[in-house]
Amino acid sequence: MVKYSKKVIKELNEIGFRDTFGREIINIGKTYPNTVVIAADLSDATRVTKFSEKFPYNFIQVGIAEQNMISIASGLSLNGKMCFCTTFASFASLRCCEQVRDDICYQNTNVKIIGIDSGVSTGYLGITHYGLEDIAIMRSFANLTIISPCDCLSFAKLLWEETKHNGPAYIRLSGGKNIPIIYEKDYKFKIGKSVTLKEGKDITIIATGLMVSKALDASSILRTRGIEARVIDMHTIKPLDFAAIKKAAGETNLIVTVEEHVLTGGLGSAVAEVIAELDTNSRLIRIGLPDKFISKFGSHELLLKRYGLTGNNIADSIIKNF
Amino acid sequence: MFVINKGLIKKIEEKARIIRKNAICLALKAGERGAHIGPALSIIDIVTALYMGVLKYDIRNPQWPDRDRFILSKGHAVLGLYPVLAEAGLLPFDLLKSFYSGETILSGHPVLNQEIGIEASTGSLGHGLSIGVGMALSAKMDNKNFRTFVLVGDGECNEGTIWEACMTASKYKLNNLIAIVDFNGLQADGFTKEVMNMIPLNDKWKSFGWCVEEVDGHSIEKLLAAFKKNKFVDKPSVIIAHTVKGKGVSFCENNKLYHHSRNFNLDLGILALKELGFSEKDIW
Repeated sequence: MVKYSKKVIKELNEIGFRDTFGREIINIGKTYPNTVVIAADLSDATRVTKFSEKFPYNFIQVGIAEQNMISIASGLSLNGKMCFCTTFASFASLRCCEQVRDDICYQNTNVKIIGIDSGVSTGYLGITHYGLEDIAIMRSFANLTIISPCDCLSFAKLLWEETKHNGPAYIRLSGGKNIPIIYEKDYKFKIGKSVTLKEGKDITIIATGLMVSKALDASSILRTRGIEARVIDMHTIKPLDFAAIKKAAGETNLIVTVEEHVLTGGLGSAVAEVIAELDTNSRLIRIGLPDKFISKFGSHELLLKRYGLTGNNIADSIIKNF
Repeated sequence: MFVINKGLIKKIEEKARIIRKNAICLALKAGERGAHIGPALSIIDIVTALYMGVLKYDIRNPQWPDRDRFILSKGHAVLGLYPVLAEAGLLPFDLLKSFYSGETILSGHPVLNQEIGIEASTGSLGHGLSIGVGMALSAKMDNKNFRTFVLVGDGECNEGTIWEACMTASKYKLNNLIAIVDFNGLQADGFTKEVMNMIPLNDKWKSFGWCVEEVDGHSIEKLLAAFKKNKFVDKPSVIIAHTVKGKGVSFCENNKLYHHSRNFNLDLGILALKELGFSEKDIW
């Protein structure tokens, strides 16, 4: 069991999700000799170059061929390997969608897909590089676990948890360095079990990925307005933590979901599906990216601001609907 | 030239005849719900030659880690796989009879089930060769000497992923990977020359760094010789097997109507069985 000191937690969040992966995958390779990493010409971007140097026989470079990467991983896994396929979230979910469904999920193979730079984190790179619909697509596949960590400790810990699961997973990461620290101390994460970061009796904000930090910001603003917001880190999108949603619907009158993903089919939709089947008066507001292709580009922070994904914007939307 | 035991050839030819009969019986079970009988008849000699004369496997231990792997990438030709697995002793005959009858685990495309010899779920074209690359890579990583065989269609070679897999196999010198192209010249919409001409197919594979052999895909002797020969190369091998879609049943041969036929009724079934040297009483 890997332990994380406060110092390490700080370091991981400073280096960001990509480098945290690059660091952890080497330890995973040391722990599990059956680890294989596959790259599709993004080994530097996904920080697996060091792994490839350390474990040259456990590293496959397929070039710019994501579909091939996924199917090869399924073949390796059918013969006992634990494979990590690394690429952008957009390519992982769109380019090789059918390979993910047929070869990874349907065959229930031990393949973990690491999707870097989800949401709009690639900023100026534009729509083709945004992971906007990945949750919606991946969520519809049976057998697939979907993890969307909010900071680098939760990512590292959930990644290790995932190595104990002999099956397919999609791990949705974001870009950049200096990730806001949500977990200051080591924590025992469990796949499928959300974490209530803040208690609150009035409303519940359920967030995933980097939006957890924004949800915490919003809850602080709301507190000054006398609204007590519960904040839930929904780090696993599938299997979804039904119990936490049910509890929130029973105890708070308003549930707000926040995600860096289009509103169609994402976390908000998943929560809506649960609430719709409950006998509850609790209402739902979904906050996320709009159902359109944006035409003006900017930095990640600027885009989040433009689309209402900041603590202030989220608090405003909640106050309007409270 | 590799000399192949004549007795073995005769034995496999007779098995292939029985397997064709059983494929016809399966098509009759599907009836008007439709069956890919043409593609099955096209591949039966290849698959029979593999299971009766080439592949290493243990019917008492179907998951034996050192077994050779066979992937039917053109999964729609499954009628040319199930009866071979049954004849090989991997798939129980009673299970074969459940095809298209009530609830069954035998679908119209193969579903991963190592217990009965099915190594991968296929159906959507262009996946199997990449899966095979993964299996061949794992053998190299683990210093195992089993071989991986993947049967693809000539129409299937339209898929870009076939060529992605080709590049990877070549880069990693996967001489433990053997692709077989069922080169029957017909695909769902018609003749491959018209739908999407892949000729010169030989040169395409060669230029991707593969060792290419062209054989008569209905000659057990030539198929066995080709499978033996490619044990001694340092790169992946492809056997372009010249076949006839619907082989063995005259009205199915080279007839695109039998790619997926919904009119394979009892009368046609009896006619087909007669051509194969069987009669109505052989239908199960």
